[in-house]
Amino acid sequence: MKKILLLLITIVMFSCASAPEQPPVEQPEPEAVQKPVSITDVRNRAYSAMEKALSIKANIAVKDEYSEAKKMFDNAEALDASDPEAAAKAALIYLDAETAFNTVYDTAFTKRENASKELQMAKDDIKAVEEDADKADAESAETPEGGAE
Amino acid sequence: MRKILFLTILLSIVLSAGLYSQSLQNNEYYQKSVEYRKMAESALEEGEYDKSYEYAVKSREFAALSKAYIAEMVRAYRARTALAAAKERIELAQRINLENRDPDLFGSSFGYFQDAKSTFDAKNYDESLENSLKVIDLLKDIKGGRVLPAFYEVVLDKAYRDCLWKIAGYDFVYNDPHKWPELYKANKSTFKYPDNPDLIYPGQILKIPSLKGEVRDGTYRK
Repeated sequence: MKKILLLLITIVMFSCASAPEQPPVEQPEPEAVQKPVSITDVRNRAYSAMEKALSIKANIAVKDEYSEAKKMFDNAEALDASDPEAAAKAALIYLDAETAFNTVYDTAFTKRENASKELQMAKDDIKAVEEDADKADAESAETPEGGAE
Repeated sequence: MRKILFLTILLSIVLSAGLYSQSLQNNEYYQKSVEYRKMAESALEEGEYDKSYEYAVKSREFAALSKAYIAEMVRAYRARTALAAAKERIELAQRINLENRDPDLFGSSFGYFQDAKSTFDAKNYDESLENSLKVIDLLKDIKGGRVLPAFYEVVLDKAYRDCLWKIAGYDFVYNDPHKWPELYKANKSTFKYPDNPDLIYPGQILKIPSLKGEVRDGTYRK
């Protein structure tokens, strides 16, 4: 329990520290109490992000970036397994890995979209060429060509 | 058995190559374009998105070249067809001796024909087509067909003696013996005895006047 609490505090502190300054806005009291985040949750989120990236073959499309993210994930797993006291640190690495996997996914997704669009345009261009050729063939079939010079 | 198989394969390759080359579509650029498209599809499938994009771009470049090639071939085909038609008109004009009958018409037509040929050789197909069409238009009214002789050499044939009546009856003269006076009228001054149309001699050349504007050229000799 102490471990989970420590992790929650660390995460909240970390996210507060990096949040941009904004004018205070009056907000209604939250109705539900925020659930504590376990290291398992953080790991699962990172793992899901990794699987999502793999689903579009990001490991091939953006190989180096993916390898970096995977290395982070593997480090976090190793840390978590070897030292139960380093859970908070491992959780932070999992979070970084999740972010990295998401970035990798976005990059691969954009690349795939661009390639798909260009490929579709290539298909359309080829189809147009085939139509032109059919018309030209039909024209030469209709009008017998006279003797060439 | 192996030999038969080899020959069958060879024959099918030759036949398919023949069929393949029939369409304008199967030009080198088109084939490259399709090749790159397949590579792009394969790369996309494998997650090689950068390569896929790169191949798709190449595929489009070759498709554009193929399109331009087909357009060029169509222009060339049209120009070549028109040039052949123009050539036919010019040859017909030469056969009917248009050069002497209407030197201006023949001269300008021939000039356009020469331009059509030279622009075609220079692959300026649009201009060549334009010039050929001018030739065709200028010579559209000339009539072709058989060129009839303008002169007839009288022969001595004991079995079938030549006389103006018989000569006028030949299909290449008037195809009508009753028109013999036309021959007589046109040649009377050259007769040994101008008042006697029955006296013609072997070797005598008779002029055959054109009665309905038919084209006549050369001398008929048996």
